[in-house]
Amino acid sequence: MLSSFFYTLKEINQTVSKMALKGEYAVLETTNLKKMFKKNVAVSDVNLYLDKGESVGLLGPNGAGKSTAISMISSLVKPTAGDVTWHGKSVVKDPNVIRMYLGVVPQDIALYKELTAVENLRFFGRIYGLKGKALESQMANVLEIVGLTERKNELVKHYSGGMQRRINIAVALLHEPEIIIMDEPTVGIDPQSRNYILEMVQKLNQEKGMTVLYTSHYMEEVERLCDRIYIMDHGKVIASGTKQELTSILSSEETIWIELDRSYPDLAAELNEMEGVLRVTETDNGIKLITPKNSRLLGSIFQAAERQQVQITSLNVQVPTLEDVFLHLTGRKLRD
Amino acid sequence: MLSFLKKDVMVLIRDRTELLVLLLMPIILTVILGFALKGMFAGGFSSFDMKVAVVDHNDRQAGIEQFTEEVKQLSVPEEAKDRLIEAAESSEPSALMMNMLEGDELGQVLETEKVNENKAIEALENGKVTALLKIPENFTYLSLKKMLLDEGKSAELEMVEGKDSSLMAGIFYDTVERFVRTFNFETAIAQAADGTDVTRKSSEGNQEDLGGVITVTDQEPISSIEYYSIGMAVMFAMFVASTIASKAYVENYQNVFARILLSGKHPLLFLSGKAISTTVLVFIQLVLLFGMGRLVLQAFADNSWRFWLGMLVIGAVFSLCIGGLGALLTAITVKSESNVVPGIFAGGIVTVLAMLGGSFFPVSGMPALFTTLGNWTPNGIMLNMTLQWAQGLGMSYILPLIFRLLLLTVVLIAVSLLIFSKRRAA
Repeated sequence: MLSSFFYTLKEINQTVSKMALKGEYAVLETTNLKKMFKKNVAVSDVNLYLDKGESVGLLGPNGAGKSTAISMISSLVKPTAGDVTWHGKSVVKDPNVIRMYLGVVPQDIALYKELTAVENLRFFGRIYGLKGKALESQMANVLEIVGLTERKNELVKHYSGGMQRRINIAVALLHEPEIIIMDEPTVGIDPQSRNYILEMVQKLNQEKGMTVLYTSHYMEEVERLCDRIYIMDHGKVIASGTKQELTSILSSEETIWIELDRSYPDLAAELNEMEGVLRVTETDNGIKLITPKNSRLLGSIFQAAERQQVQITSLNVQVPTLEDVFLHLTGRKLRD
Repeated sequence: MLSFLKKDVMVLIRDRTELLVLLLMPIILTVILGFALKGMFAGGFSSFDMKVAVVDHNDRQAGIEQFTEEVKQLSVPEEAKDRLIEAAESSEPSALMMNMLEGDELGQVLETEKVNENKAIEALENGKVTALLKIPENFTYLSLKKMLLDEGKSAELEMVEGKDSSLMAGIFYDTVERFVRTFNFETAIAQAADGTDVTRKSSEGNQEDLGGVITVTDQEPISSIEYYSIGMAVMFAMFVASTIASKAYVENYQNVFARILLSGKHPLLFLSGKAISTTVLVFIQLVLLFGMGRLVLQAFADNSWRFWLGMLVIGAVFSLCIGGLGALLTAITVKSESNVVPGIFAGGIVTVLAMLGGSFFPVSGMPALFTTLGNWTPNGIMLNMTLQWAQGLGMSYILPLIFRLLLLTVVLIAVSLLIFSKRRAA
């Protein structure tokens, strides 16, 4: 099992290297990006690239180093080592090569909540050098995109969480950036607002051709929005590729999902000892097994459940998801 | 820059709690302290410890004798000569003045000490005395001749004020001035009885013609309400600096500052924006507080437009200095990524600075270290400057304090630039 795991990582790194050495400049590229805070390594050896018009996801649990990586990519934090290039020019040497072309949506609501949406847009528009009719027209445009035209004169602090997230995005779009970097833009909002934002990002990418770098710890968001995905954990990129490429890591395995009426640690321990089981993970209401394809383990599983006097409420054999890939690579769930 | 200023003003105006603290609290405290401590400023002098050095170059006896000799040479009847000599002995002005200063009433709060000029100047410089009163050579002879014979030039009393004791010195000036005015008036009446023109000689503009002259100030001493109008205004101005720094912390914490940096604007624009916003907000605050003080509490109600024009200039310089303070607090806050510094400043340091600077009570009677420190606080300098200006002291008194404030501003801005340029963010 161990050799299979290392082989997978090696394969992935080779894929990344090939992509980085295509011989032409990507719109945005990072090379061996590293950030240390005192003696703690926050990000290490991050290599990624974005081509024009691509939508790329950065997937990882909280604390994986996504926000630090984004801060370095957007020129706000200087890397300890490595480089970020924008059309081949070093962002580390000259942050201004990227700033005017970049729209960043921070995880926090980076707005003046005591001001109205219009007042915020006007302030940020002006510091981006917009004025007069151009500013007013661009303000109307972004308000239309985020669907807040009718409520533009309300104080941001009176907005719902979802509306605050939308106006946070609107400010990043004001100067019509070439690329937009979004750091967990749907955290803490209701499903409707979340769906609105996801649709908006899709439109920006597909209809307006905007390049998108989208970070999230919601696998389903990244699956829905992104052409390619980088999976980060403990400050490193542990896998990358299209969704198909990533799930193919587990092409020779399958996932058996056993739903139980409650937690049964003894059953999990017995299944872990069972021959042919690659990985056992306990969840709130069941156990997830990763096994080789066609392993014919179902009979043994039921026998073990009977021995432990456990009631199985349902059992599914699934094709691996990105969540399973992450679980397989790190041994933990995305939202642990 | 205008965008930054407009944004900061709007953010503060929308924060009603903060606005009430910055504008209403000083007025309330002015009323409370002004009335509660009224006695300190009008009548109840017992809490003052006022010392005055008297340098007496005058030989009273010789002056009387010289005057007597001259009278004897006059071609007037002997009876008139006797009356003039008698008047000279009974109404010798320097003796009357010293009796008044050392009398029962003033003696409780005022201590006079006759010393030589060098010692007096040293004591004045060390802050051991509030003022120096110099009685010049031939004062007795000249004043008697002018007063009783209406001949010769007038005698002048010279007064020098201690560097940092404008309030008490003002009281002392006022005391001496009242004595001179009363003395001149009585002399004028006596001369009128002998056929002299009373109307002309008793008028304020002719004091010099009659006897002594006080050239320092002709203003009334300031009232407690006026004192605390200034004291509270300068204290609460410092809260604007901490408020601006607190707001900068939120901007940094919520990544608004990062967003501003991403627009390609130089980070120093953010810092200078904070300095200018603080300056403008403090200036507006001062105008509103002094305006309200003038209209609601009748503070400085009798002052001329020239006084208010000067106040605008003084206020502008002080606002600039607090702008520098705002920049320093902002730089430390952004650098440390913590709201602790503006919190400590607003919660403790402002109170200490206010006390040292004299916002709560006049500090001229406090130990030398206390007053020296107070004289280097922006609020202390502003308070002193305003008091001196309100008492009618000219620009020559104010200018050194203005330069001191400007020097402080430069230091504050230089330190804030040094700190801000070393912050972590690129």
